[in-house]
Amino acid sequence: MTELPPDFAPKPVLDLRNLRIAFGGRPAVVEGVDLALRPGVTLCLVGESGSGKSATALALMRLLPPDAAVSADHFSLDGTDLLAASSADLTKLRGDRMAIVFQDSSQSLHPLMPIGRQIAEALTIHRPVSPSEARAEALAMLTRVHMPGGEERFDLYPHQLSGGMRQRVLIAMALICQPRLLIADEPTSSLDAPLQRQIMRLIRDLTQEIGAAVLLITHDLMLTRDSADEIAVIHAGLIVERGLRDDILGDPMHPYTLTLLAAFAGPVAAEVSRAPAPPPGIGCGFYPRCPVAAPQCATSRPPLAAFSATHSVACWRAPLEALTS
Amino acid sequence: MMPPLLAVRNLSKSFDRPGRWRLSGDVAPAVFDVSFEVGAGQTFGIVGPSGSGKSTLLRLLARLIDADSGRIAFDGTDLRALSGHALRLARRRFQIVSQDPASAFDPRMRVGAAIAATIRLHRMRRAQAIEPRVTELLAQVGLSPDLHDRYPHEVSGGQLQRLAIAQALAVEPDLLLLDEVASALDASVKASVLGLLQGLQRSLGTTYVFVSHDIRDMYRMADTVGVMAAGRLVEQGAKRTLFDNPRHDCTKSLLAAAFGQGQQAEGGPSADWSAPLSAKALLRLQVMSNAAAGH
Repeated sequence: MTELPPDFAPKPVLDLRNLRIAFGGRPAVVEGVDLALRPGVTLCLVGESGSGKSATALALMRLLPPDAAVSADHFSLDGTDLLAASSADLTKLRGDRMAIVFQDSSQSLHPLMPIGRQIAEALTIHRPVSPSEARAEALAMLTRVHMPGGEERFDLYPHQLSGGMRQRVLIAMALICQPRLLIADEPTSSLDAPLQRQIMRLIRDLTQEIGAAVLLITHDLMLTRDSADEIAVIHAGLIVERGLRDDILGDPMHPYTLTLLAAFAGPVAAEVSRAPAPPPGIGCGFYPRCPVAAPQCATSRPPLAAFSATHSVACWRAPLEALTS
Repeated sequence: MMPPLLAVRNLSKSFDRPGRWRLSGDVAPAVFDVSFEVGAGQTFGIVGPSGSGKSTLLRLLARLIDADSGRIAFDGTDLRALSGHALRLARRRFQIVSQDPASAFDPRMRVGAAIAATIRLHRMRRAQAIEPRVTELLAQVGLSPDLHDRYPHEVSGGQLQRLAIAQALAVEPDLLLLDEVASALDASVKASVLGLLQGLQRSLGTTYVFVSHDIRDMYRMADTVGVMAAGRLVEQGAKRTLFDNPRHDCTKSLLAAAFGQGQQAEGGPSADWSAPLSAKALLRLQVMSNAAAGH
């Protein structure tokens, strides 16, 4: 848990300033995103689909298609400039110093290769190890991800495993080279609630052990309770609120953050507007959906303003309780 | 009282364990002794953790796999006794929609053409009436006619799920078997797909068997709910009765996990659903809710 304000925290593994992503000359899908990911710390990027969170994850891995224009003032992983890196350099970095776990475990695994060999392969690609050493490491990883049945599963194929077990295999593959940065894009969305918690705890324990920074991408704010140190809420490509976990969950300020939390106010809670988000215009991107919007919100975009040393919000109307008096 | 559209009695199915020789006789029951009924136009919700047998049960109901024993009475006919032409005719009346709508579409066929092919295959319309029907189905699931000529990879996950629902509706089924149809979608898209299904049920009178691992979906969708654990329906009943007074530990732990009351087994979930939200969050949500009502 980071209790320190960001200025005193250790040097970030990933330092990203003013990220902008646009596809084929269309308006930007991500604009002005700053991320500093520190060793052993989990930052959750929370938003709905279309908010730009997955585009951000793919941009970090430099996996966006060629028609995506990615720019940033600063974009480095442990001092390596990722924007300037050649595709050969990136191939070396991916899977070694930075790794990603996707949501869909059935599409991330080779259907015709036993899972143990796939985990071992992730190691042999980046390290000069013998096949038997790679096998031993892969077996050790299976145990560390608490694969039920452990070694017996080594020679099974992906379709013989449940979704939760396949997700454990992906985590083993991602962590076998001990990356500095792990990106997890909705790693548990297709699993049930108790299993989600187990997998999130597993990611947390293993990354803290190796001191990796984690960017966890999710649409489920409640999932961040057990796993996040810091939270950034993204809407229409802009970060609208960020802070330590307790800032966001205990003292949520942005109406969008509150909308995401409203789903947990109970089955009978009034539905807050669910209209789709329009492309960002000149005003606040949340303006068309916001029940507490003022005329100013339509014409002028609120800056991300600090409410405390750790907590910032981009909303002209925050805190909302001030509106009632 | 109307007879139920679907009545399932003592349905069971076992699979051989993966990676084991069959000789050992080591089999895992996937669905065991399941019985329930669904009235026409009603929704029976099935909720349970991953691996509890929900999807297998749906696949049994759809006759995609054969049960070992038990009875599936659909509108008075025993589905398990049907085969060949009679089964094909019956199949028109029930459709399954899965979690992964991409699997329901040929990646190289435009989505409009795929829906048209379904209508043609089941001889639901004359040739010249097929295209108008496709347009009508797209409108019914709230999609723009512009999507007609897109390929499956060119539409969003929520749109593809709507298209899969349109394809299922193309044969005008009496029963939809819905397998985690919204589970892979995020909150707002999920809400809109579930809303669509509710609207369709009101206007078409279709009966649903609705499977989800998320008990929160049951509040929205189900009339009666069955809780599944390790292949059995461990508890079933009217939604309110079941959730206000859960008896089985599995129901309690699903409620606790969904509504975030710490860990399970603290005497079951309390009625205080808003427990996980802070006082500040609730106050601000109240301000938003008041403002929304005042507009």
